[in-house]
Amino acid sequence: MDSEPSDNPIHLLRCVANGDREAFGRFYDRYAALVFTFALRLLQLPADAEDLLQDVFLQVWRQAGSYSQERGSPEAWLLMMTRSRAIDKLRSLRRREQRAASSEEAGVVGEGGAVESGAAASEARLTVHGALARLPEAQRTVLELAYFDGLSQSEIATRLGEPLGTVKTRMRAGLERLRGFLGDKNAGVS
Amino acid sequence: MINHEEWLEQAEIYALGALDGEDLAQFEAHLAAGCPRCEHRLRETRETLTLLPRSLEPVVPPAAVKARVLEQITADTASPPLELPRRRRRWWGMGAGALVAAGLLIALGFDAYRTRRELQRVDGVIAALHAELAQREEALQALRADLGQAQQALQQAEERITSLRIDLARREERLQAERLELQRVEGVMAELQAELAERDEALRLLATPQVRLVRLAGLAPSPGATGQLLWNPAARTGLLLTAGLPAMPRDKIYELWAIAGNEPVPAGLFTVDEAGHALLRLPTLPKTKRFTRFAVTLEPAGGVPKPTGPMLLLGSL
Repeated sequence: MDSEPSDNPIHLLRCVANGDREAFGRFYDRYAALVFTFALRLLQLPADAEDLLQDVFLQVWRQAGSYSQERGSPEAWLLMMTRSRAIDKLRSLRRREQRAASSEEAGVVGEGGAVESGAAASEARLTVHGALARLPEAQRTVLELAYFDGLSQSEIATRLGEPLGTVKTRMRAGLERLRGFLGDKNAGVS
Repeated sequence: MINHEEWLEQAEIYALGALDGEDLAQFEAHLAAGCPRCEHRLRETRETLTLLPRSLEPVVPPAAVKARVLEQITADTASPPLELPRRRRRWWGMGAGALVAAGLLIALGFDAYRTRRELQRVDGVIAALHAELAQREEALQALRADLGQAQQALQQAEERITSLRIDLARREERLQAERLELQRVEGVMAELQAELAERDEALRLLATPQVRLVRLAGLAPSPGATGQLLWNPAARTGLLLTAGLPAMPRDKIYELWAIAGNEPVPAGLFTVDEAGHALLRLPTLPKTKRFTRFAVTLEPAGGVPKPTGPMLLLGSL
């Protein structure tokens, strides 16, 4: 947009694809905090979030060439990678946790516990502001459960005790509002 | 089966990562069949979703992570990025040359082995320090979070107290209003009971064979007015009903007269409603007289002992 070509993330990615480490450093500086914050919200534990941050940028280094501008902004691409890796991890943790629960080893305190109390714990640690804070509670909850906690529409319906249709409607209404905020320049940016 | 708007809605939930079951299978099949509109909506929704992580309060990662990443990509540079598969294949195509180069790298690696071990030890110390720093940062962060939570809880409690106070005030107000309403209803009930008693009395008075009906006719000021007097000569009382009497001025009142010979005796004061209707229960009149006629006049408010105003109704037994 208003940034110089050398700082333009698309340009930076193109340089990274050609093995430019300096460009990579700049790209990292620009997005590391966003990715880390997101990772922390997803995985709860700082150590896990650091590992994820490292993995994601390693992936950036290796796959910058597969990035295509037509498929979305660098930011969306980066956040999608972050989320999909984190959700894989969360799901495997959840499975492990279920196994642990079924064999009655619930006494073990670990990542499992942190994941279970996901939304609540992270809300305490990471306060929400900007666009998300401006959503009605019900819409915010379904979006957070889906996007941050990796729950599917049916899992959310079960957890909230609401009909599936209601959950879907709230998700779409929430997204609709967010889309509105996107036009607003102040939205979401700290 | 499903209109396209619904596909677009599914696309949003898919982008959110929440589509599952039958919905997911159907949507993926739809996408696989090729749908530029859904692809577009997916892209658009993914951009929108970047607002969610951006809405979180940013946490800066430890600097050690950047160092680790840079270290890793340096190590990676020997095996160039995977994003250029075609060029990569050509490079591997050099075959023998590449193998020689790799062999050289390994040899150099052995040469540097000792130095590297020393460096690794130092790195270990630095990493341990970084780890400790990270731990402390984490502890600090946790303390900040605790403080924030406590402040939030306090604020919530205060808000709750305020809302309880407001609620209490509102309830007191409502209670007061209810008390007033109760008083009003009690008043109305007392009035109704009094009226009922009066009617009972009137009925008892009139349900006797001696009762006579006297028709009163309208005179010149209001020829359309009429009156009917149920007169009980034995009890010397009765009930007057009127219709069509003009509304009286504020400072005037209607007065009924019972006339014995030529002498009028006051028989009650009354007012009329908008239609000129009135119902008057007569007082018990003196026994000494024999009343043969009845008349209504308009008098100053409060009534008078002898008629002074115009006569509006007149009738005789």
